Amino acid sequence: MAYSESPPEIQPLRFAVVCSSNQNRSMETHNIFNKKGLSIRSFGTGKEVKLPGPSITQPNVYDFNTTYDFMYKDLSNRDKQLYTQNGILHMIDRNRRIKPKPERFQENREHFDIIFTVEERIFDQVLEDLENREKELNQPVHIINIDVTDNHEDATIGAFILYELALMLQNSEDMDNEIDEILQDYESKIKRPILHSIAFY
Amino acid sequence: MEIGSDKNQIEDTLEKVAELLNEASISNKDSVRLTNLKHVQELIVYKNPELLDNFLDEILQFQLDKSGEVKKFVVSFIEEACKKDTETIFKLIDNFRYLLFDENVNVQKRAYLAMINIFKNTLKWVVRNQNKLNDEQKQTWYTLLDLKNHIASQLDSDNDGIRTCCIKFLESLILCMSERLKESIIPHVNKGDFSVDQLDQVETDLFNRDELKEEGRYHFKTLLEYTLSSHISSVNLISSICVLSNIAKQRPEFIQTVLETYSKILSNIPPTLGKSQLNAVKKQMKLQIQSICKSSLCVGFVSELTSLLSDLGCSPNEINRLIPKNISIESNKRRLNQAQTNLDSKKVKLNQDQKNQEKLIDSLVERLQSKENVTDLVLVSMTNLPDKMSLKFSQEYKAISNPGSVQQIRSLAQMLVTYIGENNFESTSQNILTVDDDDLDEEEDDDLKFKLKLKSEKIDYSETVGKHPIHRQSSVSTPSKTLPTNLNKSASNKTFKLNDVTNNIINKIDQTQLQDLYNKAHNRILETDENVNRNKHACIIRKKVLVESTTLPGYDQKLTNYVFEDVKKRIDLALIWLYNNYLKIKQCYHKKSTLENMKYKLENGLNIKEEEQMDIVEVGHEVTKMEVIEQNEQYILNQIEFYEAEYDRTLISILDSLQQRKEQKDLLFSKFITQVPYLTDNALNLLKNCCQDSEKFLFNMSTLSELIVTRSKQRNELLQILLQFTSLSNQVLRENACTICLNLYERKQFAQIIEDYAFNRLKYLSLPNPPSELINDLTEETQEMLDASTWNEDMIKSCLYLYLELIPVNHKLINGLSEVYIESVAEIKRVILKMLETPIKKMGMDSQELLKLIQDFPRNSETLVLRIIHILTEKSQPSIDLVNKVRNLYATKLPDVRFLIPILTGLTKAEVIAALPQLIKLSNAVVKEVFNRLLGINTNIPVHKSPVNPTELLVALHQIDQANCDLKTVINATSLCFAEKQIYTQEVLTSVMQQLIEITPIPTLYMRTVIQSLTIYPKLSNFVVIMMQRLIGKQIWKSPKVWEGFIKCCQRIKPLSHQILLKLQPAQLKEVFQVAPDLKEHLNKYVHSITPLERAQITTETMELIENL
Repeated sequence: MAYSESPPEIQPLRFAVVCSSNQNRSMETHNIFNKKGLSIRSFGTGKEVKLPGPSITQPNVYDFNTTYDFMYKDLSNRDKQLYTQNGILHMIDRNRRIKPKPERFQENREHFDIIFTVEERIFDQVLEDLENREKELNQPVHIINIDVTDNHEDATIGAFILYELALMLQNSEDMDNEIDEILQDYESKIKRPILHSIAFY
Repeated sequence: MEIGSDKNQIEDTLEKVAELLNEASISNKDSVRLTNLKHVQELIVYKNPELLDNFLDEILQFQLDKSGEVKKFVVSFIEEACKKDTETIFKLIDNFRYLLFDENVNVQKRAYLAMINIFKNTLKWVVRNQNKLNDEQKQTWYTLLDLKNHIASQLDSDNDGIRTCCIKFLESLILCMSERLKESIIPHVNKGDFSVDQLDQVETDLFNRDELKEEGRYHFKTLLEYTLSSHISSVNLISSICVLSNIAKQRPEFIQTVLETYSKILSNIPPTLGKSQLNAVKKQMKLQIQSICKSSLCVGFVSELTSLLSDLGCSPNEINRLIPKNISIESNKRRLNQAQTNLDSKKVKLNQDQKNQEKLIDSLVERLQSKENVTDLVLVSMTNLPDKMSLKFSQEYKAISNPGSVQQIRSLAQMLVTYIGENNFESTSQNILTVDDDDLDEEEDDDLKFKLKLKSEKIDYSETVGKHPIHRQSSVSTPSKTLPTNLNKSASNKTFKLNDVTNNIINKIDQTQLQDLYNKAHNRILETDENVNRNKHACIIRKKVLVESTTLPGYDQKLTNYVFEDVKKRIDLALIWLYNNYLKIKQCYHKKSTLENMKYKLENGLNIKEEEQMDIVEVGHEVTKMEVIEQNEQYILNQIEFYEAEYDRTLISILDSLQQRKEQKDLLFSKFITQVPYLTDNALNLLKNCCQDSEKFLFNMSTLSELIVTRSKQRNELLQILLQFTSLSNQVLRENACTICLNLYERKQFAQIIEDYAFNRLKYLSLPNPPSELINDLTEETQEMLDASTWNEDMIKSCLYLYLELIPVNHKLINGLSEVYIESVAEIKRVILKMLETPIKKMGMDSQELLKLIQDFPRNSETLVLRIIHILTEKSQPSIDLVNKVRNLYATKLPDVRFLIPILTGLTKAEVIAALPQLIKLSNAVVKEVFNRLLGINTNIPVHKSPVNPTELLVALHQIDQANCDLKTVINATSLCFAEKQIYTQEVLTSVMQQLIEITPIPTLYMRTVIQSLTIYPKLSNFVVIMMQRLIGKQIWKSPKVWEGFIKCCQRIKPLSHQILLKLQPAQLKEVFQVAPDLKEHLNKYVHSITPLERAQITTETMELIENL
C-alpha cells in the first residue's frame, strides 16, 4: 500500500478543561492548548456564567447561551473604565476570538480522553455528571484536578502547568498504563495535590 | 418514482462509499483514512445498513493498517455493525479475534471494551436461537467464550489500562450471569441486556442456568479479591468501585457484599496509594454510595451506608441529608426481615469459606463484648505501637463515629478477620481465641500468622481449580488454538512454587535438550546487560546467576569470553566471579575449623552445641561421631583443594587474558590484580613474568610495587619478586626495580627486608666460590652464569647492585661493604673498587660514616679507603674534616704518602714540601698526578687553591736534600714541571731562577734548570747572562757540579758569553778554556773585534790567556 512508508501519526488525545464559568481558567488553558496545537475543548460547570461586578455582592450574571461578544459589549456599556482596568474586557475579548460563547459541561455529550478540572468542587461535579450519564460506550475517561486560583496571573500559571502535564500524557507510549506514574512524579514536581479518577462513557 | 429515487440514492451512496474507500486506501495520512472510514461507517451502518455486506471486506482490510487509530476504528466498526445486526459477528469473528490479540495495547483495550457489547448481544442472540444454530455459528460462539475467558483472566496483566478494561468487562459478565430482580435498577440503555433469568429452561445443550450463575459468582469473587488486594493501583481501585456499585444497583443480591467490600477497602487501604490518590478513591466511593442512597435500594442498608459515609468523613448533617429520615426509621423493621431472608438465601450461595468467615466474625463479636478481652487486646497491641504517631495516620485518622455500637464491634471483628487472613478460618479462629487467652507474644503470633497464610493460600488455590466445570468445559470444547484458556488462574492468593513446575519439565526433557535450554537461558541473561543496568536489584541477581553458572562445564569460558568482549565495562563481573570462588574457599576453611573444634571437644569430652553440628553431613548411622567428623574433614579438605584450584584457574585465565591485550593504557591489569582477594603462586609467577616483558615492564612493575604497598598479607612474597629484579644484569629492568626498591626503602616496614636481602647477597661475596643460592635466584640469567664455578664479573655485580644503591641512602651500610671487601678474593675487590664511584660520590665527603671509616678502617681495607678518598677528592677540594682525618691517619697509623695525594690541596705549604721527597719517589704516573693536583692541571674544580704555586714547587724541588732523594728522581720531577709549558712560562722560570740564586749554597741543579729554561725560552739568554754574572760574584767555581753547568751554559750562549768570561779571574778562565777550548777561540775573536779602548779594560793576564793560543 502506498501509505505503508510514512511513520504512523500520533493520534492526538482529546483534552477538555473545565472551570466554573468557562471564562478565565478554562479559557486561558484553552488558549494555550490551541496555540500549542493540542486538541482541546473548554467548559464550565456552573449554573450560570458569573463575572465580577462593581462589588463582590453584585456580580454580573449571564446565561450560558450568552455570547462572549454580547458580554463584551454589555460590560463596555456599563462601565468601560472599570472592566478595562480589572482586565475583564481584555479576557472576554480573548475568549470571543477563541469561540463564540461559553459552554456548560453538563450539556455536552462529546467524548474525551482526559478532562482537566481546576478546583476540587468542579472535579466532584464532573464526576457526578459523568456517573449520572447513560453509559453505552464503556470508554474510559481520566479526570484530573489541579487547583488553580481564579485570577488572571494564576490562570496563566495554571494553564502552563496543565499544558506541561498534557504534553507528557500526549507523548507517553501507553497513556493508560503510565498515567499513574506521570501524575505522581508531576505532583511531587509542582508540589500541588493532583486528584485523578476514572469514569466510563 | 419513489422507488426510483431510493435506488438512485443507494447508487449515489455506493459510489460515494467506493470513492471514500479508494481515497482512504491510497492516502498515507492517518487522519484522512480515519475521516473517510468514519464517513463510510456513517453511510453503511447507520444510513444504508443494507449496503453493509457489500463493503464489509473492504473495510476489514484496514485492520492490517499500521496505524493503531485505524485499527481501533475497525474494532469500533465491528462493534457498531454487530450492534446493528448481531448476526454480523458470525462473519467477523476471525477479524475480531485477530484485533483482540493485536500487538498494539490500545487496539487490544478497544477490542476488550467492544467485547462487552458484542458478547452480551451475541449471548442474547444465541440463547434465543440456540436450537437453530448451524455448526459455524456454534464454532463462533465457542470462540467468543474463549475470548471472554481470555479477557476475564487479564486481571493478571502487567498493564494498568488492560486491567481497567478487564474490570469493566467483568462488570458486564457478572451482570449477564446473574438474575435481574424486580428491585434491580436498570439504566435505560441496559434494559434490553441479557440476564440469566431470561433462560427459559434450566438446562439445554449449550447453557446451564446454575452453572452460568455459578460462573457469574466466580467472576464476582475474583473481582472482589482483586479489589481488596494490597497492590491494586488507584485507577483500578476506582474502576472497581464504580463497577461494584453498578453491579450492586442492578443486582441487589450483591449489594451487601459490595458494601462490605467498600468497608474493607477503607479499613485496609492499599499502602501504595499516595495521599491525593486516596482522596480520589474516597471521592469516588462517596459518589457511588450517594448514588446507592438515592435509589430505593438503600432501604435495607441504612446502617451500613451511614457507617461508610461517616468513615468517608461525612458529617452527620450530610449523612442525614443523603439518607432520608423516614426511610431510615422504617428500614430497621424491613431490615430485620430482609436480613433473615438474605441470610437464608445467602447461606445457600455462600461457599464454605464465607460461612466460616461469618462464624468467625460472630465469635469475635461475642468475645469483643467482654471488657477484659478488649483490655487485653489493647494492652497486647500497645507494645507494637510506634513511639510517635506516623504522619499518615494522623492525617487519615478520623474519630470512630459510633464507638461501642453493635455495628462498630462487628466492623472491628471484620477488620480483625481481614487482617489475620481471610481464608483459613478454622485455625485462625483457634488462633484468635488463644491470642485472647494467653497473651501470645508478638513473634510467635507473626510466625503463626505466616504459616496460616501459607496454608490458606494452598487450600484456596486447589479449591478454585476444582470448582468451575463450566470453564473447563468451554476450554476443552473450543477448537480455537490461538487462545490461552487458563482461566483457572485466580487473580490473587496463589503461591508460585518453582519445583511444581520444573519437576515435570525435567522429567520430560532429555539431557541434550536441557543443555540447550541452559545455553539459551544463559545467553539471554548475558544479553540483557544494558537493559538490566538501570535496575539495581536485577543487576545484582543477574551477576549472581552469571557467576554461579560458571560451575557448569564450559560456562566459565563463556563468561570469560563475554567479559573480554567489552572488558572495560565488564571487568567487575570478573571480579565478582573471583570473589565468589574465594568465598567458597573461605567457607570451607571455616567449616574445617569448626570440625577441628568439634574434634577437640570430642577428644576432651566436652559438649558440642547444636548449632555447631549444622554443617555436618551424615554418613550413616552405624559410625561414631568421631568418624563422622573425620569423614567430613576429609571431604572438606578435598573441597578446599578443588575450590583453590578453581580459584587459581579463574584468576590465571583472567590475568593472562588481561595481559595479552594490546592496549594497556587503561591499566586494567593493574586495577584488577590490585583488587583480587588473594594471589596464588601461579599468579605471582605470572606477575613476575609480566614484569620481564620488554614493553610492559614499566606498568607491571609499578603494579607490583603498588601490590607490595597495599597487600600486607602477601607483602614478603611480592617483595621477593621485586628484589630478584634488582640483581639482574638487564640494566633497564634492574634500574627500574632498584628505583622502586629505593622508594620502598624509605618506608619503615620495608626497609629491613630490603636491607637484609641486599646484605645477604653482598655476603655471598665473602665466599671463595659463588654459592648455589646465588645461581638459583638468577634463573632468568644466562646459562653461562649457571655453569660458572668461580666468580665472574656479572655474578659479582649482581650481588652488589642493590647494596650499592642503598649505601647513599643509608651511609652506615658502607661498613658492611668494607667487611666483605676484606674477606673477598682479588677479582671481587677489583669489581668493588670499580663500582664504588657512583655511591661514594653520592655520599659526599661530609658523610660522617665515611669519615669514620677513613679514620678507623679495618685492616686490609687500605685499598678500599684509598679508593674512597680518591673518589671523594677527584672533582672537588677536600674538606677540612677529610684533610684532618687523612693527615692524622698519615701521621699515626699509616705513614703511606699515597694517602696524602688526594688531600694534597688541603695540606699546608710546609706539609706539601715536606712530603715532596716521598711523593716524587712514586711511579712516574703518580708523580704526574701529584703535580697535576698541585698545579691544578686537568681538574674541574672551579677555584683551585693550591697550597703551593708553580714557582714554589719548582724551588722546593731544587731544595730537596740529596740524602732523602737521589738527584735523578729530582731531575725527573723537574722535567715533569718543564713539560707543563703552560704553567712554567718564561716569567715563572725567571722568578724561579731569581729565587734559586738567592739560596746558599746554590742548588746543585741550578745550572741544569737554567740551561733547560734557555732551551725552552731562548729569549731568556740576556737574563741568563745577568744571572751568571751574579754567580761569578758568588764564586761559583767552588761548587764543582754547578761550575760544570756554568761552563756548559757559557758554551750554550756563545755569542753573549764573552761578557761573563771576561769577568772571570784568569785562574778560572784558564779552567774554562781547559774544559771548553772553543770558548777560548770565541773569546779571541771577540777581543780582536773590539776597539782598542775596550780592549784596554781587559787585564793583561787575561789577554795573555786569550792570546795564548
